[in-house]
Amino acid sequence: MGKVITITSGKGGVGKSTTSANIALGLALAGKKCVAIDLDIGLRNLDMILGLENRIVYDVVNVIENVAKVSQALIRDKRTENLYLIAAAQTRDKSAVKPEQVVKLTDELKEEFDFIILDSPAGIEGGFKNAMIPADEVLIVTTPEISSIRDADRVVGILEANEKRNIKLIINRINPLLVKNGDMLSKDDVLQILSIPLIGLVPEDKNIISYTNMGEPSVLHKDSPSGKAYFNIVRRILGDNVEFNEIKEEKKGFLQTLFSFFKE
Amino acid sequence: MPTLTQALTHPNSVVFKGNIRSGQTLESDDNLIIMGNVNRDAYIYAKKNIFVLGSLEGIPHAGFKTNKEAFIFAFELNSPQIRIFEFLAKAPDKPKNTLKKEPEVAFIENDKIVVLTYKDWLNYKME
Repeated sequence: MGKVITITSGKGGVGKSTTSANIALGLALAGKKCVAIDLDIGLRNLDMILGLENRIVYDVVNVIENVAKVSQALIRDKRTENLYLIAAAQTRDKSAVKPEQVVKLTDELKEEFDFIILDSPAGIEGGFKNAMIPADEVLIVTTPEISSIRDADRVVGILEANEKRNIKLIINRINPLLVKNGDMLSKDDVLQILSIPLIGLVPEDKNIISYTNMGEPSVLHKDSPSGKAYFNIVRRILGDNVEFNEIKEEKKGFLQTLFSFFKE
Repeated sequence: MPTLTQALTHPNSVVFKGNIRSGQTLESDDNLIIMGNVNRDAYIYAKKNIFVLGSLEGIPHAGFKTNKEAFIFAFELNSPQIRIFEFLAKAPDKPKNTLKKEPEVAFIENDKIVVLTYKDWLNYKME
């Protein structure tokens, strides 16, 4: 029986779809059968981030409206047999789908897949409810900024009110240097406000923009800082006890060391 | 201030353990005791006193509509606004010294909301 994991945040632009793509692909590369569903209907991105945009024939709304069978809407990943995508409809909006319909779809997919990753839209309205109601586990993505943390806090409140107990936190785009200088909130600051268990720390990675544009999620680049961080999240989802050592100070070059020596 | 026997005969205080999060509200027709944090943009109301055994970042309203004698106690009082009875006080624009964390109490004195550290408040009331 599969498990539904919803990726959400409240605030937009904090990296929900990138996180969804990396976790889904990471789980698939770890040998789990996985399907990612883009529920950001009308503003789809997940297909592009996974590099599957030119393969879409049927989308999630087609399935829900019985225009297509589930098997017809499942787009197989080009890199692994374990990953499938159900894309969002671009010509419709969030009102085209109701939570019960998503539950029916995920229940059907649970028979065949180990993990079902739901990519939630931003906000706390209908689209978010579609993604939240079917969830067995919810991963909240936040950046270390107050506005993003407040929205995450609001979302956690709504989840708790809906009896969702399995909520975990991913802190995205941490800049180790800024944290060190006290210009960015640290992981402990964020955890103190949100008080939910941590499952991932993702450092800021300038390569991610090009990975996204090329449709190659970070987990395919195992040596990149973000790729490593997402792979650790995947291992934690699978039950491994992985130390939180993703955020290391950037190594100083020789000249920088010299400069800092003179400053002192 | 009620005497100890009066305080013991209030049966309707609300005791809540956990965090109150952004967008949530909690109300009490009597005292309100929260064992946890009240996060930013959460609202709490009590007709009598409010005790937050944690960090208070949200907006408290003590003595709601009824009680000018009400006070607000918090382990860490960081609210942007404090409301007691019909009075309202805005936090100073200058951020607090966050290294020094001390329990504080807010109450009304001469139609103004006053905030004192818990230690100072205890001595203040005894005089």
